[in-house]
Amino acid sequence: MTDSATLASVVIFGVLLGGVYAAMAYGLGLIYGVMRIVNLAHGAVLMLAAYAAYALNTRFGLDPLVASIVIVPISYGIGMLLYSVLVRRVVHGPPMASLLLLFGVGLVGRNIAYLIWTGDDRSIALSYNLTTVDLGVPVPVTKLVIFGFALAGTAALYAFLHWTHTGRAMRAVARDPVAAELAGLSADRISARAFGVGTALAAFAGVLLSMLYVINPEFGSALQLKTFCIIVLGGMDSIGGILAGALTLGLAETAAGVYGGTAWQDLVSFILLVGILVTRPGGLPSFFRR
Amino acid sequence: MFRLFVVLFAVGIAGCGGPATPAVLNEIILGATLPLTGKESRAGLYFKNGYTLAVDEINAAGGVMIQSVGRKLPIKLEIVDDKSDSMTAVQLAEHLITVRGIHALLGTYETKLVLAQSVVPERHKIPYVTGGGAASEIFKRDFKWVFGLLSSVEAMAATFMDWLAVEQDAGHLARPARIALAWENTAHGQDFRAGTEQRVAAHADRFTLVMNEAFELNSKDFTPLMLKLKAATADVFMSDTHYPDFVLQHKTYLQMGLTHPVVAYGPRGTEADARATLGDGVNYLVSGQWWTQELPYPESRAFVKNYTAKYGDVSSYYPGLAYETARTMIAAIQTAGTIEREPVRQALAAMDRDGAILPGRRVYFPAKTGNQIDNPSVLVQNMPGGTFRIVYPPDAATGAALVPPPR
Repeated sequence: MTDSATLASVVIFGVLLGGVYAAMAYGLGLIYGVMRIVNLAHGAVLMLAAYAAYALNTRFGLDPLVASIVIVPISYGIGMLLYSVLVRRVVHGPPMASLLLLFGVGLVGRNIAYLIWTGDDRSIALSYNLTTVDLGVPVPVTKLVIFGFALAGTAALYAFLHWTHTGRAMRAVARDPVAAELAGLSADRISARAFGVGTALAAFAGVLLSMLYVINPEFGSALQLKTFCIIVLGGMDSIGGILAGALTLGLAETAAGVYGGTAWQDLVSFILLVGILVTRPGGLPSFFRR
Repeated sequence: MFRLFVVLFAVGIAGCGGPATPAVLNEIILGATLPLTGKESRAGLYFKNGYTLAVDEINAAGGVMIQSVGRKLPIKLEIVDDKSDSMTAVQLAEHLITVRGIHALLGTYETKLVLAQSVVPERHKIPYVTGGGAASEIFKRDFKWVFGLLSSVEAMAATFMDWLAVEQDAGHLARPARIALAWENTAHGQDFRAGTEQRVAAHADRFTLVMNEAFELNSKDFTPLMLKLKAATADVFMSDTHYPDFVLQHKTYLQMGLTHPVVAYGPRGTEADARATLGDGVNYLVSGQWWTQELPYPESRAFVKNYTAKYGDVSSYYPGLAYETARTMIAAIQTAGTIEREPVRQALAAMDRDGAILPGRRVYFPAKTGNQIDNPSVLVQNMPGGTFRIVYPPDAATGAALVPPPR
């Protein structure tokens, strides 16, 4: 297992896994970046969006990527509504208040899933489920698609935050909400939009993940932990950092699985999480800051 | 008037202070907690139906003959929802015993829940039969009141290895066969690993273990495992998985273009959802089942007919195990001829009952396994078109295995 072909496989599959992780983490990173809120309902959003993709696929035969055209805007609206009705009441309070509130929202989401879809495992049957592309090793098309969306998501999110009025306003609120208010921005309205965009990004990730994994109401919980690792690695609020963190984690897990034990994959995530928190709380981007 | 008052008062005092008159026994109450909601709700419903069918059949025949009261008594089933939660399963079992006054307890479903709940009947010294927990960990605690109808995952692994030996003798598989083993890092998986390793050690001339790899439950990427499997150049790939890991693992296996003469994922492989997701990729997988509707035994066929007529779908092992669990408890009460707990426990411990719907058709609880049945599993192989055939044990086989499968 030390030959160059294996090493090439580790790099290819590690980078692809990193793409999956990046897609999962953008929504959480954006919401934290703008509001300094850790969204503990993130996993539930991933899970509910995956179920929505499943429902549209089984009911109307929609491919998840097509279904995302419906799911993502609705999720944006739900995110805005969630902020306006619940989150804005605690956003300026102690961090524990928002943590508990969003934890509760996540539990409600999970129990809604139990009520509608029961605890059964479900998966989406795609005609290209087993289709692969030969890159020296057979690479699943689904993972390539998700990786493509992860890269495109990074570029689009960067462009949105830097080149649009709303995006610049979000960055301004993130940097100094009082100064942003003095400059005529409504921090509350901008935060609501950021929460909406973050929820929509999480929902889009959930749709993509439904192409890979079996879905059940507990589906989001394990992913949420992994997502925390990624945004801590990525420096909590940096879009490029999140991509770097996700790729690092994907490569580290794959290498650990191949050169160590398959059971070490999760262990590596949490060792990296603890290691970064202790030595570099600013995440990977702090290596490049003076 | 005064005398009458004195007499009534005296009778009242006597009634309050004396020993309680034993209540007249009119029915036998079997209690059970089941995961009717939560993540195991599908299995919970199957178990409820299986328990109910067994009780309905006995009641339709007039009930259970209880020698101590000299007549047949009907059975009342008290089932409550433990919400797929271990703590709730424990609390509700306590409630059923101490408040509802049940005479015996039938087990819940899922290893973790049974592991937690089985402490309660042991503490209260009440007979407990479970068909919902297979991990040997449940039965290795020297408990006297807990009886398991689901043979261990270790025994299932041993059944796989015994079948591989049959295929070797038929010239279908290399000897020694190179075995690649993957197991989830849980009590379930560790049992599977133990069963495989024991057979490999005992038959070094037949088997060589070329991969022995653990993975975490609910893993999100099996590419490293499959890269290792590819490098192992094995004849047989055996993995013990829960359903989500099975789908992801086998999807990765197929995407990487791997093939082996034998591929097995423990008890997984026959699920309709897996076929819908992976299509013909599930053809020729071999899986171990604790019970299947295809078993050719007359008792099993009768059960399938009755269950299907009443509840419909019987495509899982759950209803069969539940049905036999309830029948086993009822048989023990009938043998004991009383609802006194110790005689019922002794009847379970000494039980060797024929006519069961399980593989081997016998129900018995060997002391050496801590009162856990150790009958073989049924091995089935998926066939094209969504059908499957029983390939082992020989007395239940409905066709020959295709090893290696046609490509």
